[in-house]
Amino acid sequence: MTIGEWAGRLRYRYVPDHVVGEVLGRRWTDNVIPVTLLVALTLYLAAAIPNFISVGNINDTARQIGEFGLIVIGMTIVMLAGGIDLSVGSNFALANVTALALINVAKWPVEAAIAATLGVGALVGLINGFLIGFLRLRAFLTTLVVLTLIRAFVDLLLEAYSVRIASSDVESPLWDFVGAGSVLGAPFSFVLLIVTAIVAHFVLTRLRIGWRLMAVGGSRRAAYNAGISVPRTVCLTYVVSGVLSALAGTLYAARLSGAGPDTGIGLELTAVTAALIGGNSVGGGRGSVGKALMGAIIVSLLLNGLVRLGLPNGASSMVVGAVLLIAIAIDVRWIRWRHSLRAKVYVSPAYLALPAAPLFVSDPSSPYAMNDRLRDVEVIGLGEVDGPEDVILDLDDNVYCSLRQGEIVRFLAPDYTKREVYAHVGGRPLGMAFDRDGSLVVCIAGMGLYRVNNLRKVEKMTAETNRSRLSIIDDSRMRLADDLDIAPDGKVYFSEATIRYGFEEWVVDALEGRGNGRIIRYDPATGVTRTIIRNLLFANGVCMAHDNKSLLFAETWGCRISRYWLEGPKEGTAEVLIADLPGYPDNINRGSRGTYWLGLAGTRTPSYDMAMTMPAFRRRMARRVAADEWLFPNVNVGCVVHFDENGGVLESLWDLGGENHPAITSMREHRGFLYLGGVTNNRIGRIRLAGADPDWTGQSSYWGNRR
Amino acid sequence: MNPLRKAVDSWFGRGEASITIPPMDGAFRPNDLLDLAPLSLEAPAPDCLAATSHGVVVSSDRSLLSVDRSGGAELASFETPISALAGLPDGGAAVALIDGRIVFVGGEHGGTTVQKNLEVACITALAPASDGTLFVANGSAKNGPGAWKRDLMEKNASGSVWRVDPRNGAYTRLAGDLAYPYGLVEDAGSVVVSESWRSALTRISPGGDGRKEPALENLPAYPSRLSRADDKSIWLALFAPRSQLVEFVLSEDRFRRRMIREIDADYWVAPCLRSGATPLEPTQQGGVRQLGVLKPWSPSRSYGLVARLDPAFRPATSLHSRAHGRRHGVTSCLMVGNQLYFAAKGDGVVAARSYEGLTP
Repeated sequence: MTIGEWAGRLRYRYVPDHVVGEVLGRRWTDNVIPVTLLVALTLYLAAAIPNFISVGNINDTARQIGEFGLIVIGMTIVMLAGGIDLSVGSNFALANVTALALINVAKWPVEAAIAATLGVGALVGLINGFLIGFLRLRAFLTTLVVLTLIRAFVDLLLEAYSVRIASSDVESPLWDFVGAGSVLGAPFSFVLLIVTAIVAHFVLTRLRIGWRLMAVGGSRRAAYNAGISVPRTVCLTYVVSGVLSALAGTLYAARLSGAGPDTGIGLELTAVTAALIGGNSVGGGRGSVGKALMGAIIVSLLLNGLVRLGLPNGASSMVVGAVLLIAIAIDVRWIRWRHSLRAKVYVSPAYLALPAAPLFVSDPSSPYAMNDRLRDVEVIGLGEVDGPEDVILDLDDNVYCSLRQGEIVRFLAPDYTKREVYAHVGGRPLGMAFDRDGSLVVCIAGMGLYRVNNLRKVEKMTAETNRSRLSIIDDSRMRLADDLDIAPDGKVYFSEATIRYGFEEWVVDALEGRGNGRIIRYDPATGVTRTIIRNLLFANGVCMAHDNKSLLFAETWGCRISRYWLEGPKEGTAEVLIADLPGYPDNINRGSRGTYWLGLAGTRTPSYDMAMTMPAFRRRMARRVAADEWLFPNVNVGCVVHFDENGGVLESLWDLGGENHPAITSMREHRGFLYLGGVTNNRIGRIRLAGADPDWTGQSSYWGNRR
Repeated sequence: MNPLRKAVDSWFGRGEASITIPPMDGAFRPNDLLDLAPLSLEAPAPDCLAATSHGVVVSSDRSLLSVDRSGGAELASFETPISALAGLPDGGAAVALIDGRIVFVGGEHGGTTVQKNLEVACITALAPASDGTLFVANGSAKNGPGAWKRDLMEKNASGSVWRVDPRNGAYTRLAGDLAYPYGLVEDAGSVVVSESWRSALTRISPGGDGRKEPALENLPAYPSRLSRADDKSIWLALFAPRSQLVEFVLSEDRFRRRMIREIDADYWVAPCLRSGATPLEPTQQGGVRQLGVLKPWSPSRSYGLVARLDPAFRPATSLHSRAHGRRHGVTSCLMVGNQLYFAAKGDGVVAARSYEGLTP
């Protein structure tokens, strides 16, 4: 090995390329830009302005953020449902005047005045909501008009009351507390903001109305078709926004007790900027309260910092405008960029060096030596089945197979000419096994582990396992449950081939050659599902050893069979049983006389083995060459391998030209015959075995000779 | 032209470095006409066809076989395998052997042997010239005719075209630096040669240093022998398809070198005359049998293709044996009367069919 190869091997072992694509696939990556911005801005301002991080300043800023953040949350809620509310600024000013007039001039009790002010805000929101939600006016224009109207109304109110507001004084501890009080050292308005944010987050992410709101923003048409009342939902968002603006206006009134004509001028633009720079989408359906908070803090810090830096008057508006433009650009480009980048980097091939393959072509003395023993296979259901990945027989000799259409079809003994759909399970059923009471347990790609009971009723057993702590993609759900077997105590051991790809993309997992697979245990007694082995190279066939003390499993891309100990001194450990198969192992099943059968879905080729040690070559191939043209293991030639308890290979049955049985993925021995299935075949095969026990069946081997 | 462009393109695999091949379309629209042609002869490796006074003959390993007579009677045999064959106007034949000698059978020069020229060790095609001399294509300066796959994978362009005078055995070099010349036909005083690794036909003008100009480019497969029909149209055999995967491997130097060094040539990711012979050969994702059927359009490393070019070397029509066909690796074709003969070396078949109804 040269130093370059050695370095390459280390690089592919320790640099987790696959993480990049997985991170880009998560929604929380949308927060990367705002968080970076926030940290950078804080660091810069802290360095540029003396005392920026002093207690006094933080307190001041937090109080302002409290007011502003409420407005931004309201704006975000409107935007999440696909709208925009430009009237927040004048609504804020209206609330300010209303609160002051009611408390200072009309001398209402503070509680009543606050309630009335919020009611006025809600009314303004309701007007917006009615016009936009029910009359379907354009949000932008409507709220712009409302903005102007309310502003004019505020001016009239100011003319009437401003002098009297300014000249009167209020003695109310509650009002003072609202304006200047603290809770646990934090300004009241900031605490109120946090509480509001938590409630809003809970509503948006956990309650039905929140989901409906997001659905409306994501696609009005789809939401309507799903039965959501779009007008009501839209209307509600404006009411919420109105109330929150009024709440902010009340806090402002309590803090400054002053009513001027420039209150809340330009606030709508600042609020939109904050909502967008936090990472909320202007088109709706994407965003969160957390993003709104972050945006509010960024914009507040920025404005506050600009004032403290002593920039001239117009400059801060200019900065807000510039930030808004950048935010819009990011909003438009980010998603598209993220998706295209993810598509490019998600597939991340790993380094995989397999042991030398046995000489199954050139060495006739090899137990794997090629022969034509499968050429004389009898064929069952030719052209009537689409991809019988697994076959299994019951004690009445009926043959069951799992088909691509999501069906389990059975052919009736003795002549197997009559077929019937045993159960429609959906998904892509793969491995099957009978349990003690005769229920058929099935692994279904895209769904999980299911059971078809004696009455042919389909029941879910499990579709979720424990999430690994460091996994970025959610590996608690099952994407590609593949094969299973059942222990005498009823526990089901099953394989999930890969956690990174679905069944339709298993080819990409082959190209990747990383340990993405796992073995999972489901205990029907407790209902607990646990992952017991991780990082397997396409975990595939699973089979209980004849003595039930261990479990055999196949790793397809690893071309090996391993044994996992369920009891005894090596309990909980795995050891390799056959390390150098000449092909890609699929299902493993018990045979008579203490043996096992293994299907090889294809043969190893020198070129592909070499490509597996050159990850960069495969990565470029994945990007530059059409998928149909990709280099691929040879899955056109099928083989069945017969091996014993110690991993010694007894014989192999080949179909040389792949004419009768290309790609064998499963086989079952039953009363002296071997039944063959293949995931890309249109037939089931059956061949008489010379040395087999003619009375042996899988059922009796597992559960004894009971019916 | 930006000098950085090439480096950037090859890094990202776009522009010049993107992997594209011409589609089988237009005159190359696929059909199954080669598979439908009646069988003339089965032989181990029928390679080169020629019209002689004994009718149509074909070279197969060390023998010259008659195609017209039933059973493929052996007309002549040699001590080493034949690498090229040409019918001469006088009814004789020129036979090139893999050791570099050219033997004349029948006709005016019958019995003459032109001894090996050290610079011409890989004779891939012969063609009679109108002045009584013989054009000789020397595929590669580095590899023999049997190692064509290696020559492609080494990305060589070391072939040359010569003129040899049967009367005195003198060789004259006409042109060099050709990417595996594999077919020859004289055309209006010049000679047109098929350059396999460039997937193009190149015209070499007479004269000392052999000016080269393209006659036909961007073929969807690797061209081999050329022949001329009575109606002046040109028939071109294309022995293997180009594929995106092979072009990609050619662009991947490290993989290519390791493959040449470590893997048996039969199992290379490279074009071949007949694919699927052993399970150790590379396969491609689209080549997976579905429901027991290999789709005719699936990617394949071998293919059967014969094209008719008009006298100006523009493709007019073509006959195919697609991925699922059994007439792959056509290295030679010949129009005699109204019968089109072709030798599918990959599948050991010579077949002939009338050309009626194939006009575009």
